[in-house]
Amino acid sequence: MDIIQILNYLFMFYSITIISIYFSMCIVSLFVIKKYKKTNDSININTILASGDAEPSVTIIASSFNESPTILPCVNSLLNLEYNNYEVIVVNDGSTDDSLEKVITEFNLEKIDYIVNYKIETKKIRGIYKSKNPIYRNLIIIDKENGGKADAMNAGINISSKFYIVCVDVDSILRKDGLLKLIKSIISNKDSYITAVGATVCAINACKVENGVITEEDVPNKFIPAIQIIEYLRAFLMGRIALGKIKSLILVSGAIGMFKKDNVLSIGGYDEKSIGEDMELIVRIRKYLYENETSHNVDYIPDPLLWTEVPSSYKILGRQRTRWARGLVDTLRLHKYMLFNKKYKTVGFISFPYFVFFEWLTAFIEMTGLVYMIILFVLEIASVKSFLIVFLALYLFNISLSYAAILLNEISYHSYGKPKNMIKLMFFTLFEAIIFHPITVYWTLKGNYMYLRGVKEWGVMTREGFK
Amino acid sequence: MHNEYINILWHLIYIFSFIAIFIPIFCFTSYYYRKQRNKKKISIKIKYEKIIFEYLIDKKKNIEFLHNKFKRNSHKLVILEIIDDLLKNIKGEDAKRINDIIISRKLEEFVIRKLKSRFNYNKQKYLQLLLNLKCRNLPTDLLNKLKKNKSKEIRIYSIILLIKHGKSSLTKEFFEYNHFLSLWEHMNIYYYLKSININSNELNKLLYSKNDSVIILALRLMRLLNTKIQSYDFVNELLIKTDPQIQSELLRLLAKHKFKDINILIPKLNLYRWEDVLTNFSRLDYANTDIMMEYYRLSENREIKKHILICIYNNIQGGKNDIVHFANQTQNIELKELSQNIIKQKTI
Repeated sequence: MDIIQILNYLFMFYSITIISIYFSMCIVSLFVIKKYKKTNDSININTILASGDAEPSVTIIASSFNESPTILPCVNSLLNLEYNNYEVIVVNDGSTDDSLEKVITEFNLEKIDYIVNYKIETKKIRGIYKSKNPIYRNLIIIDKENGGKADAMNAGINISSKFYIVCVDVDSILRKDGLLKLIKSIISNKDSYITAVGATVCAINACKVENGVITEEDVPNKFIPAIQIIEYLRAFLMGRIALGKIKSLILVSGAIGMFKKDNVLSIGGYDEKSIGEDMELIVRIRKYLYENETSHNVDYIPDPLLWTEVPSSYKILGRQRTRWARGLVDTLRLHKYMLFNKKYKTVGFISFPYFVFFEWLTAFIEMTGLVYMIILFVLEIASVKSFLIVFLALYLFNISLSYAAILLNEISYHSYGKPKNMIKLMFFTLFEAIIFHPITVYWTLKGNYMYLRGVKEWGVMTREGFK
Repeated sequence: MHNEYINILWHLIYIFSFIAIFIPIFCFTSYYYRKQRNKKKISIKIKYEKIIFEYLIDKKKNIEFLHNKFKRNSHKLVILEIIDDLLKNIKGEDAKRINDIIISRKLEEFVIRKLKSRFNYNKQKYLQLLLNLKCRNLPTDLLNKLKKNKSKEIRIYSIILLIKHGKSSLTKEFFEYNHFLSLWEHMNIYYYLKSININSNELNKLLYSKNDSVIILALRLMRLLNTKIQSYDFVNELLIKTDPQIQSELLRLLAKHKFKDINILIPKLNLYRWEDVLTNFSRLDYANTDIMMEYYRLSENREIKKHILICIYNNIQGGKNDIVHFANQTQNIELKELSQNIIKQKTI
């Protein structure tokens, strides 16, 4: 066998494996969603509200850095949730805009005399604010020096007095029944079995928001935010549901995640040095629980509970994606000993191999494959026809997968349920493989290169605000 | 490129092309049928709501009035859903008239028939509907069978139905219960059974169950339904149990009944982070510096002691002055030192 044949076999093997994995995930997700919907649709979730204060207490922590356009509707949505026992902590992480002033005025806040018990070390807290208006008695605002999202979350955890924490982003709107759905997943299991819960995140960019409630769901007309909706549907409705089903989830979105606070405190909170703090936190929690031989799981629910603003320009999106790529490689490198380690069960044998071979390495293999095809073409080993056939197969694979995600959305919670939105999504999908995907591969490779060079900053993420 | 690869790729192209064409068709068909279904359901619902309200408001209208209006049997589920909503809020004469609808339209028989469905989600849905109906002929045998179902919702709804209709009792169902009862199940049991008169002996008997989750249920119900513990000797026996949920619920129950030695028992609690328990406790109206200092004296952990002082400072009325006082006194060196550190830590 010559070298070309071996390489051909390798590329073919990798492609078939990845296609099989994605389609298996799609089928698993289809069954999980159907079952979840049928079981939960007829359930009276309000039973939790009438349970005579038996519901677990929850602190919602929202970190904010220069989120002036979105902070008021977000805090309003958080204060109007259907749940009895919860508090909202908004952490102003050294914003340089007027977001803090806006919140102080809107909610009639005053600085209070307060001592913080630093269970986790954080940057200096400049002030704690509470409202003079008793209606907002469950709102606490922390004003601190800038230290990044992880540091802001840790400051919130220090102040929190509840037993579960929900971490959300301030550029988001949490659905009214969001907490009920998240907590239902926890209380349906043995105490402490579910250590974290994630839910589906949708893009809010073209949606209409009134008083912190989404009144109209729409797909943006712009290519960049619209194509991210398809990406989110694929990631949340396929990948995470399937991984959750086989107890291998190590990533819930940073935009929404519920955690058992005790576990978070036991591992020292978020790692402020980590770039992908969301994934790193779950990996560390799971590692801690496995090492203590504690039976646990990270659950994922398909309900679209949180709507967040996605970047609408290439520049901002590029920053986000290079950061995600750095976060992934950072977490995988930090915890590399978990790979194929039987101590960490499904995380060691499913999650880590999946993230290493089919999330991190994919961009490198795609790039290598492209270069390889060009070399074969230049050396006249491969013809234009074969080049086009490969391209067509990959292009159709991408479309099939994206359409499958749109179908999963339609048969589950039909977010963006109008036909015009479906048409828009299907139309934009046609260009994803040829325009968007190559750019994301470039960003991923760039992110890895930046990681090698030790670049750690987040980059400025500007927001447009809700409609 | 080798022909065999080209062949594989062509096969993949055919498959993906088929998927790419089939899925959009399926999506739009699904959307169309969903919309049609919802539209139809809403129009039927509006129609029946109007009829039912007309019947309820005009007391002269008897059940025959409905017979002429309810034409189709296939709409029974919609009528049931309307009735289910109404029965949650309506009592007395109107509730009786609604029950007449159930009898005359044979809705009960319809629900019971549906309980025999092959699918668990159907069983669960109709059991929930049955929970709110005043059932005349409870299908006891069927429910006894359903309480062995693998779905926890079906199990618990069946048991609740049996208890609610006096066909069984809490002790009979739960004393030797083999499954774990989650908090979600506890909530459902409380929600649906709070209106019936549960015998305090039954709840006290459940405390002796071998299943810890049943003991927690009993303690929780005792607290929520204001039932007294019959034997306080048993309290110590329960506190030996390592299950932190039992300890937590027991303490909440004892606190409700103003058990005098509760302060000694609280530090035993290990379900939640002790700091959080103290913070939440210090926020209660009746918490004061003296009570918090009792916990301070009971604790040997310096971190906990520090947290108690922080709670006094942050949450207790007049607590700030108390901490300043502690920082200036000389009898207790540790207390003085901790208080001084806290004041130094006050950076805000």
